[in-house]
Order: sequence, then C-alpha cells, then structure tokens
Amino acid sequence: MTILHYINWCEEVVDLCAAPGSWSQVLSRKLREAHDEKCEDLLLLIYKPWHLLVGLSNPSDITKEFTAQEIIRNFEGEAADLVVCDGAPDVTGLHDVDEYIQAQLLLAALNITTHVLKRGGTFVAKIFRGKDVTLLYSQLKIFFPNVTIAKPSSSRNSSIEAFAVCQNYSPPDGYVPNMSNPLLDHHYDMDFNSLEGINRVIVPFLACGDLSAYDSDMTYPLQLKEGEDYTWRPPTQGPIEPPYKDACFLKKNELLAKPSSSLSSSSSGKDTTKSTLDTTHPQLE
Amino acid sequence: MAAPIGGMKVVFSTKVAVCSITALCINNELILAGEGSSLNSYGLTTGTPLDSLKVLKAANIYGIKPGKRFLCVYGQKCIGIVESACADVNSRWRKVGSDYEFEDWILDVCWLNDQECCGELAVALAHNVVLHWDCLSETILTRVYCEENCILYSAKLVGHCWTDLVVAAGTVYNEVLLWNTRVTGGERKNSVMHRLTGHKGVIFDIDVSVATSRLCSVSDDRSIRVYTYTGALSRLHDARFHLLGVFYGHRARVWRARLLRHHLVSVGEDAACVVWDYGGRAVQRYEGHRGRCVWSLAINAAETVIVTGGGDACIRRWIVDDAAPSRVKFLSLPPQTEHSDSTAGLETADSDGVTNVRCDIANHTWLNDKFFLRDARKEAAAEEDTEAGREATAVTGRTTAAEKDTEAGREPTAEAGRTPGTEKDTEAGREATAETGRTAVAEEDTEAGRTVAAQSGKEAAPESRRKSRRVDFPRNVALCDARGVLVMMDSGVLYSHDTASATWRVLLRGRNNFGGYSVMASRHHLVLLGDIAGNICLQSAIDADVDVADASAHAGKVLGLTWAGDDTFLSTGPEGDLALWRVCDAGTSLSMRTLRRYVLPRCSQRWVTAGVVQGRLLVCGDRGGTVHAYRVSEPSGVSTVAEDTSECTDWRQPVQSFARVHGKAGVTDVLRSGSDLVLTAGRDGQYRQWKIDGSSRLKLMYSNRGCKGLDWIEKIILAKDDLWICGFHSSNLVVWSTTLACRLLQVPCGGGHRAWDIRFHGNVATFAYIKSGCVCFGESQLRTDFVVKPSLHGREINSLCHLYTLSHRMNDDKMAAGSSQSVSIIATASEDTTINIAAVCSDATSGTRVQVLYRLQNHISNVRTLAVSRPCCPLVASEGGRVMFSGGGRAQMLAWRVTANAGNAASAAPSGDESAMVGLGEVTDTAALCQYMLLGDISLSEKRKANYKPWKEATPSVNPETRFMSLSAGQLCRNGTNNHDHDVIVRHFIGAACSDGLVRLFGFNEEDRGFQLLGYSNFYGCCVLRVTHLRVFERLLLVTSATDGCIAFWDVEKVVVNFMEERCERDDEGTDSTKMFPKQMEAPMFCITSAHQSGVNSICLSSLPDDKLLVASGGDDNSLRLTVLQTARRDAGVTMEIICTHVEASAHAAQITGIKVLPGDVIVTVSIDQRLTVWKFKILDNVAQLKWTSSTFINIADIAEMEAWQTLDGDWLLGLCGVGLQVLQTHNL
Repeated sequence: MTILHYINWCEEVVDLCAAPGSWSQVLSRKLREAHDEKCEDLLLLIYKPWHLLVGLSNPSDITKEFTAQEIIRNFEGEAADLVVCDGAPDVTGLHDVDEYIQAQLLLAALNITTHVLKRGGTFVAKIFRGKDVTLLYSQLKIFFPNVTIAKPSSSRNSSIEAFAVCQNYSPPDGYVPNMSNPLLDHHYDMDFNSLEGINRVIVPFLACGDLSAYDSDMTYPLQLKEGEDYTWRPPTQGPIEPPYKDACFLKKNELLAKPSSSLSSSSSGKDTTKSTLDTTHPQLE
Repeated sequence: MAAPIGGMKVVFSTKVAVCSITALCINNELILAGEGSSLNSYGLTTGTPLDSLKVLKAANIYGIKPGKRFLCVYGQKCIGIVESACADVNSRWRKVGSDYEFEDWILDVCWLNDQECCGELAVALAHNVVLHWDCLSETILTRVYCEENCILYSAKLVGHCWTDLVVAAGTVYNEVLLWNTRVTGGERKNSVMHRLTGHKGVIFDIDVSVATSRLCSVSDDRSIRVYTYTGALSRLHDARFHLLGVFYGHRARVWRARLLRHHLVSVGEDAACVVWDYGGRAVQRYEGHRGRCVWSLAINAAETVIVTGGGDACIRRWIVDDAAPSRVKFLSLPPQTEHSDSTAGLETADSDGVTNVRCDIANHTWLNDKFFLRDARKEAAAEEDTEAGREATAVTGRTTAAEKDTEAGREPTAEAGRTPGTEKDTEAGREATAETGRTAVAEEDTEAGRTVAAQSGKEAAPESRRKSRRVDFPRNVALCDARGVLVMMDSGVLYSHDTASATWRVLLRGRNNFGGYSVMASRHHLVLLGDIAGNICLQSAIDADVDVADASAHAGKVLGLTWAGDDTFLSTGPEGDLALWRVCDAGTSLSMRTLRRYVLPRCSQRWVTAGVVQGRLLVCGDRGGTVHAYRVSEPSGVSTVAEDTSECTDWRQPVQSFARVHGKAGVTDVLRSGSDLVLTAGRDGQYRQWKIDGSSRLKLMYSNRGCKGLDWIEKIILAKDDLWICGFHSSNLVVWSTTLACRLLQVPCGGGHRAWDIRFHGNVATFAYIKSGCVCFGESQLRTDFVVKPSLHGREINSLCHLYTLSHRMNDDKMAAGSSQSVSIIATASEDTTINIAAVCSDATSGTRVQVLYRLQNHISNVRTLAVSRPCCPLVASEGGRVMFSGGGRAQMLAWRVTANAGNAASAAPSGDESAMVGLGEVTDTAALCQYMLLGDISLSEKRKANYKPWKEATPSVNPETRFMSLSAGQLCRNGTNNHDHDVIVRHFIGAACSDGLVRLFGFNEEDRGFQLLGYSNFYGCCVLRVTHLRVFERLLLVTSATDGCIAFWDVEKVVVNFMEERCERDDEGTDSTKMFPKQMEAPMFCITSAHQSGVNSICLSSLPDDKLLVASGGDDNSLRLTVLQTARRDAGVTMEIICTHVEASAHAAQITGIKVLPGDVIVTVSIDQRLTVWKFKILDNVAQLKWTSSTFINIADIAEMEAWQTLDGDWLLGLCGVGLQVLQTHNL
C-alpha cells in the first residue's frame, strides 16, 4: 500500500482482484481525501483472480471484453487514471508454474488495462520476481516507458512478491486493444542471449515504506505495549468460498476415504470406511 | 582511466542437480524421470540409474511421451526430442536437434501416428490452443484455437490422428472443456462440445481412458471426479458423459490421477499415492515420500507397478498387490500331544489373504481348545509353586480382566500404547517372565482361551479352575537358525518345530523346573533357558544329541536372560545379581562359565534386558530404561577371573550409568556397530548411538526417533547401508527402514505384550509370536524394493555448508586400481526440520550423485542456518572433526561434531579458514565416511527448570518464535600460553543473526558442552539477516546485515578473550552457571549504512593487499555492491574507512541470495532469478571496477544460499540450495 503513496492524485481507479483488501482501503481513503464523498463511483473493485464483480454489477472476469466496457460505462465514458492489481493465484509449490500463472494474471490485467487506462495513466501490479521476470519487464516496457519494481516493507524479504509500477501509459503506435486473444508473455530469443546473456531486461528496483513501519521479517513479541494484553483479531477478510471447503469439512469429520486394510485397521476403522462410502455416494448424482 | 578487466572466462558447469521429480514415464522396462531439465533413466525392476541426459536448456521437464522412434520431452514452453543412442541398448539417450520453444506453456503432447511420418506431434498450450507440429522440420503445420481462450491448468489430448483429436482442457474456471481439433471453417475457433462442471477449484490434471470409456479430473478442491461416457470420443458431439463418482481421500490438493482398467491412482499434496476402485473405495494408500508433494505418477502397461516422484527428489516404486500389503504366509502350530517325538507333520495352513489369516487363527484356537481339553485329562500333576501362582492370578482378578476381553468378543490384544507399567500388578513370577514384557500378555491371552475352554464363569469354581490349570499352552516362543521355532510350553516342555518339514519334536522335557515359569533366549542354534530356582540351561536347538550345559546361576529365580555376543550372555537374578557368561560350543558338547559378576543398581524392575560386550566395556540396558557400562576384563589377559569377585567390588559396580536414558519403559536392544560404537533402543521410541572413546568411556553421540508413531522399539537391525527398526505400532509388528523411511514389513500380530521373535536372512524375515494361545509363524519378503532414488529433503533447503573433502577409493572394479576421487561431505539444513549429512561423490559410470549419510532430527522447528567452526590453528585440533552449529525456528541452536572416519585426522593440517581439506586415509565405504555426534542444545526461550533466577538474567526475555537467521562460528585458541595436550580447552564462538532484531554472540565449550550467551545488541530495530566474521589485525570482527540495508562491523575480541580466559570455575549452582553476565555489546565499530535499499541477503568478505578489505554484498534490491575498506590498527582496536564503492544496480532480476569472492578476482553471485553470474573485479587507484563475465541458468528455484569449496584437485565447487540442491564446478579458476 505504501507504493500507492508515491502515486499522485487520481480521478478514476480500478482495483482488480481486490478481495476487497487493504489496497481498496487505502485507495478509497485517498480518493476520499481528494474528492470528498463520491469515491464509491470512482473506485471499482474486481474481486477474485480471474473472476467476479465489477463494482456492484454483474460478476464477470477480467479476460472478457464486456468487463472492459462495463468499467468504461461505470466511469461514464472516462478512462481510468490508475489500475491496480494485487491478485495472485493459489500457489502450487512448483515455482515455475506459479510464476507463469502469476505472469498470465498480470498480462490479463494488462490486457484489460489497455482498454480502460488513460494515456499517461499508471498501472500497478503484483509480480513474482522469479526466473522469467525479465520477460515480463520487457513486455511492460512496450506499454509503459517507466517501469519500476517496488517492494514495500510490508512485503517480506524472503518473499518473491514485488510490485511493478508502470507509469505513463503510452501504447505503441497503432496498438488496438484486443480482448479476443490473450496477451502472451515474451520468450527468450533462440540463441538464449536473453536467457543467460547480458541483454536481459532488468528494471530499476525501489524499496518503499519508512523505517518506522513494522518489519515484516522480524519476530515481534505478542505483547507490544507494556500492560496491554495481546488479543487475537480475525483477518478483515477471510477466504471467499475457498475450493477446499468441502474437503476440509470431510477431513474434519473423518469422512475422507481410507483404505480399509484389515491388516492395520481395527473394527472401528472399518466402520469409518463404511460411513465414508455412505457419505460419498449421495454426492455422486 | 582504468585498465579493462581481462583474463580467462570463468564458466561453471553443473555436476549434479537434485530437484523435484516432475515427470515420470515407464517405457520398455525403464523408468524415465524428469528431474529439473535432465532426463534420467532407471531400470524398472532393478532401480539402478542407467543414464542421465540434460535435455532442456532452461526448463524443468513436465512430461515425457514415448513415440515410435523418438521420445518427446517437454516442460514449460520447450520441447526437446530425444532418441535412443544405440540400437541395442535402449537405456542411453541422445538429443536430436535443439530445444524448440513455443509461444506458450505446454500442457500436453501427443504423437500422431496415423501417417507414415513419425515426427508429427499435437501440442496443447495453456491458452487452449493446440498445435500440429512436425518435430523433424520444426514447423508448426496447423494451429487450432478453442472459442474459450482462458488460461488452462491442465489439458489432455486423446487420439492419434490430427483430424479427430479430442482435447480435454481443465480451466482456471473449474471446468473441463471437451472440444476437437477438426478444423471447422475460416474462423478456426472451435466450439466447446462438452462442459464438465462441478469442481470448486482449478483442474490440475485430466486423464482419459478410451479402453474403459472413462474420464477423470483432479482439482484444487481436493476431489477426483470420475465420468463415464457413451459413444466414441471421435464423435465427440454424440458422446454423453455421466458422473460416476466424486472421490475425496486426499488430505490436500490432488495433483495427478491415472485411470487403469480396474483402478484409479491419484497422487497429491499429502505425500500420498492412493489407489481407488471405481466404487470410490480407497483400496491402498502408499505413503513414504517426505514432505508434501508427490508430483508425478507413472504406471506400467501391465498395471502392476506404480512409480511416483515427489518434491523430495525421491522416486518410489509400489507393487500393485491386491491381496495384502504384507505377503505373509502364516502357519499356525498347535504343539502336539504328549507323544511328541513321533509326531507327524501338521498340515500347514497357507493363506494369502488377510481374512484367511483370521480364519486360521480362529480355527486353530478352536483346535487348541479341543486339544487342551483332551490333554487336560492326562496332564501331569502341576507343581506346587505353579499352582500357587495360578491361584494368585485368579485372586488378583486378572482372569476376570482377560475374561472380559473374551466376552466382548475381541481378541484379547493388548494395545501397543499401553504402558508396560501395568505389569506391576501382576504376580512377581510373571513379572519376571516378562523379560521384555511380552510374555505376561501372552499369558493373559492364553488365560482367556483357557477360561473359555473350561467354560468357567467369573467366580470360577475350584473344579473348573483346576481344570483350566491343567491345560497346557505355549508360554514363550523363539526362533533359531535353520528356520526352527522353539516353543516353551507352560508345562515346561520345550518343543522345536522344523518349518521346512513341518515336524515337531521335544527338545527338553522333565529337566529342570521350567513349568509355570521360564525365561528363554536364543541365538543362532543355541537356546538359553532360565528357571524359577536360578538355574540356567544351555541347549542346542537343532541337535538334541549335543549335551546340555547346566549351571546354577543365581540364588533365586532367573529374572533376565539375554545374549551379549555370539558366545557371551548375561543373566540377572534377584537383588541385581548380574552375571556375564561365556559359552563354549565344542561341537558335541556345550559348556558355559561365569566371566564376571556385577551388581545392577537398584531400580524397580531390576534386570538386564539387553547388553553387548564392545571393546573393554559391557554395555547393557535394564528394564528401567537405564544404560550401564561395566568393565570387562582385558580381552587377552585374565579372562578367567577368580571366582570370588567380591574383593574387587570396584569391578562389580557400573563405571557409568545413564539413568532412564530410554525412558521408564525400558531398554530393549543393545547392538555393537563397528569397532567402538554401540546402538541402543528402547520403548521411548528412540534409538541412540554411543561411542566408546580411548579411555573406555561411553559417550552418547546422538539419539533419533526412528519413526513417528513407532514408540515401542523392540529391536534394531544393522542392514546394508541401513538401520532397521523393529517394533510395535498399534496392533502390528512393524519393521521400519530408517534410510528408506518406509515399512518393510507389517504383521498384524495383535500388538506388543506378547512372546515373539524375529530373524532376518537377507531380505527375508521369519517371525513367530503367540496370539490367543496359538503359535503363529510367518515368513515374508521384506519390501526393500520401494526406493528407486532416495530422497533428500522433504521441504526447501535453507542452508548448505561444506565440512570435508576426502579422498575416496571407488569400490568399482572398472576403476583403475589406486585411482581415488574427491568426496565432499556437506551438510544441508531444511525447512523439514532435519539436517542431512551427505556425500557428493563423482563416479565415472553414474556421474555425480548426492548420497545422504545421516539425517539429523533433533530440531523441533525448521533449520535455517548452518555454520562450521573451522580450526583456527593446527594446535587445537580438538577431538578431530568439525564442530557444526545449526540454528532455526523456535530459537533453537544445536552443536554437532562431524568426524571423518578412517585414517584419523593424524595427518590433518588444516591451514586456516580457507582450506577445509583433510589428508585422510582412503575410505572405501561411502556409508562409513563419517560419524556425527550431538554436542549441545540451546533454546533461547527455554526457562531453566532448576535454579532459575530471573534477576540474574540480564537479557531481555526472548520471544519463543525467534528464528536464528544466520550463524557464523569459529574456533578459539588461546594465544601465548603453552598448551599441554590435556590442558587444551576447545571453545568456539558463534555469532547469531536473530529475527527478533538482536545480534547475539555465544560461546560454546566442548568440554562441558554448554552454550553461553556472551553478548547481544539491539542495534538493529529490524530482522537481522546475515552474519559472518573475520580477523583483522588479530582482532575478531563480526559482520552483520539486516533488512534495513545496513552492514555493521562489531569488534568482539574483548568479549571473546574474556570467554577464553575465564576458567571453568563452577560455583555452587551447578553446571549451568559457569557463565558471566551476558551484556549489551558495544555499538558497532563501523557501519556501511544503506548499503542496499532493503534487506542485505548475502555478504562475503575478502582481504585485499595493503590492509584493504573487500565487502561484497547482494541485496533484495537486485544490486551487487562492492565496498573497499581501508583497515588500520589503532591503539587496541581497528579502524575502517571506505575507499571506494561500486554498485551494480541491476545485477540480477531478483534478490541476490548468495555471493562468494573467489581467487582470481572472481565474484560469483546467485539470485532467486535462477542465474549464477560470474563477475571479475579490479581495484585500481581507489576505483573499483566490475565486469560481467558469464551467467548460467540454475535449475533450482528459491535459491537460499551458496557455498564454495575446493576439490582435492583444486577445482572449485559451488553448492546451491533452495528447492533442491545443485553443485557446479569450474576448472579454470
């Protein structure tokens, strides 16, 4: 969020993949400061990665042209000054896959951004600084002359997450925004000079956040202030309809299928298996 | 103008990369595995590595598809085509052409075989596009789009003909889309024919079986959905899909699934491979991979072998076996009637299935009952004392308990978790019989059986009690060589059963008084028996003609009897009377004599359960969990000690006793290993290794938990390159391999608390136990064929350090005689809470490999950092070996010693910090390359239990969640004093970077193995990331970096000298209080503020000529910074001044996590962007220059650290750790 402090006033803002979370909070506060009360019209939230909701209207996804039109319609014909995208997929653990998917999410966001962003506008998106991040840099450079990688102090040192701050939107001459085909990321040239050579596109890095802020890598005592007990607070926004909801329910209630190996399980184990089957079957329809 | 930087180009080449196994394929009796960018092949049946070929330039392999002539290997956006290198041997591969890179991520590839041409492929890409590609001309023939162009997580191509290829695409929107590649018109965007919905998460894998008309998909929602379809897929529009079932069985996400004819196999993030039937039942669940993920899966055409590959870099093979997980043949052996000599062979029941086993047992129980009833009539009169004991039993209500079991219709099995302490309430005789605590329950079992047989109620009438008493039953069982089973009956008759001919005979009858009470121990072909009167009888189990040796050993009943070697055994009598015996087997006659008599210290269950003679010590464990060491006479000298040992009472007492080291449930096994090692195991679930040092003192080297959940270890077995643990887990007898981390054998014997025995003959185990009054005997092949490639770590590797470089002679005959190779011993620390000690060895045939020697398990949380304390001067060689410190989560730090074996460190001349080479004798067995020992343990947050005086704690209280982020350690030696050998005090300092923002300095004393906090500083208000140290003008400096980008130099010489000077004076508070007050350290003597914008993730220091110092640092901000400092001596300290600085702002595209300054003005950096970059630097006229030289792509992601060391030939090796391990080498440095 600290990144956003670096960005000047904005009129129309789109928050892609907002949960809504802290980005939305900061944006709405900033918009309120600048424009008093009518910020609701200016901030558009698009909820989940790939998915859902433009403002308060129909759910849609960010790969659809319709969504772009919807955004423009919401802004009464005006294009946006700022598009932010803090979305990330659920990581799998295969780092190259995760980086690829994150890059696709960013490119999908960039694609819709080319429809809704004003010339000279700003695009801020989460990236994973992994092995192919230079390809993404070169891609962003086509649309934005100024690309900086920013890492707020709220983002952990050990995390590969960072934010691409792309300023001064100036698409190449003759570029026609097109949602019907996805933007594909760049690839290395065939002699692999851009893979291992000196010609890799690396954009400047900027650490942001002031030193008085909490260090996200540091271990803080739970009792921060003298005489003040630690109270646990739930996260402001829990996961929205997580895919594992049903599976967790089954796991918690010992309903997952288990081998009824009579070698290892006692009679009670058998019963569990039976009940698992009973509960699995109703779902078969 | 500075001169340009010249010199030879330095390039590092990969020697070995240990990565996740992301692709697997079984082809022609070969396992093909994609490990990083290499294609490795292994024999399917043998598991031996055959070939390794780097196929893709910079991509991990995600799929291997065999075609008619070629093998298509793909990953990320690249395809590599591979063919067999020679026609006859199909295990060697050769790359055809170079990588072809596509525009998008490849999800599936399929060979098109409809034409004669054999080089055409269909390639499914991640934006729902399928390409028709010719790999020979490397041209894209056709490109077909689906109308839905969202991102896919998975795709499956079905068919072999381009014109009717079916695409099953798993989208990010949780749907499976089915469409075909038939070109419809000019638009060329094909429509979706079917849409399978229902998953609640993205689709990770799809499989289609045309033969059985099934389709399955696995998802982020942890479920597997199976569909059947009607009609042919080639006419997709007419096909109809029906949901067959939704399977939930994985405890985390499901990654892959394969449809077989009768089963479905899935692997997931819960480290498990599950075999399902199509009714939704989980038939099998294979667990064994470390960590979380099983990424890849392959099944042979016959559907008999499953191969899985995991994130732990391990390939495992599972034999699909419907019948039972343990292929056990059970023989139930009711000992025959009184005419035992002439007994005909009993019919042996052969049963494969589990249920059959149960039936058998039931049948035989019934048979036994009949037998008992019949036999009871002819039973000889019971001995008086036995009767008394029996009656006592009835009174104590034990029978009642047993009966209750029987009434409940359960087999009276004792649960394994039950504490052996419950035996306390049994009568003394039985307690004694429970030499290892089993017999008592065997008896309990049989009692139940008897009660049933006698039809007696709770208030047993005297008649029925009498009746029941007469029933004979097996009391104890043992195995002997030649696969014989020895059964001691309650009546005192010892039977032997020959399993080959299935005949019984009586070994012993009417001799001594073994009725009602006996202890038995067998070894090889000999069996020892002890009775209630204190007599011991030695007997040959195979040859009844051999004379039996008898001795009156103790004044009262023989409580414990155990072998302590091939020809020695231990017997314990009342009052802790312990005797060590020697056995002499003269062929036709046996004899035994007492070697020594000892006194076992008082404890509640005062007898020895296991022991061994190793060197000059007798190491034994008692039933109370204590390990004792007694002196034995000199091996050559007076082995025949005068009978009255009473004079030398000194000898009778243990020299050392480790009270309840194995918990209160008892030591169960003591084993000899090597020439000076002893292993002990106990019912605390731990096994411990001990070393007997030069002065015949027993030292604990380490203790390990064998297997989670296996808390009842009964036996440990030293196998080839492995240690097997035998114990009870719930109602099973389990043999667990510590190296392979899997169960080799599982026998549903009903749990512990029974008489049992097990023997191993190579890979075959024979076992016998008593269950429900029956003797059960089994023979089983151990499943040691599980692991094709062993695992490294289950999670990310956080730290890597080099310990030794050894010269190693290969066992291989193919190698020229006398040729030896460098073997590097390294240690790796992981997020999975373990530290591995591993050998990196090169081999002409199988290339370089990383072989794990030991897994150190004592950390309770993740291990983040390792530091080796290298000797500062040759004088202080301590006990040899390296002292290594490991730190991690939960504020825990451990000290270890790793000692290289063989040749000893006599010729060791470590020449300071740089060289870690030791000129050791040549080692031939890799497994015996080194040993390790746990020296000490400190947890910052731990409150001292006793004598805790908070007012004496000058340090602020420590957050228990503090992590040690980095450690740097060195040995301390006292300068200027004449060290006599015995006077050498070996101490170490450890600089620690801690996540609570503190820099801490610890001292470690090898003598008392104690850590001391010497000083700390809260100079940083943020997480400290790295620490290193150096000596400048004889002063020790710590150098630290943190998330605020500041590099600080600390002069800690004074603190360290104080620590060295301080004598080991102990005040009255005990061992823990040799400490001085830890104090706030002085402010850093020098700082490079804002060296980086944010965290400094790597620093390396190097001395330059003219007292200059080069500080090379890499940061989170992608930059590489060189700072040249001028150092100068001033008064009693050092001053520093920055001369020049060079910043390479965008040295990498991501944070730099490793940096090393190597000779030849070379700097090597490595970053999360998976590039290793070599730079050359030059300092000239106070200007620092830096030149990029080369970059190399690294296969492993999330690189956490880099270590550099030299081989014996002087080549430099780089070790990188992260999600895997990679070792690179350069020759031209």
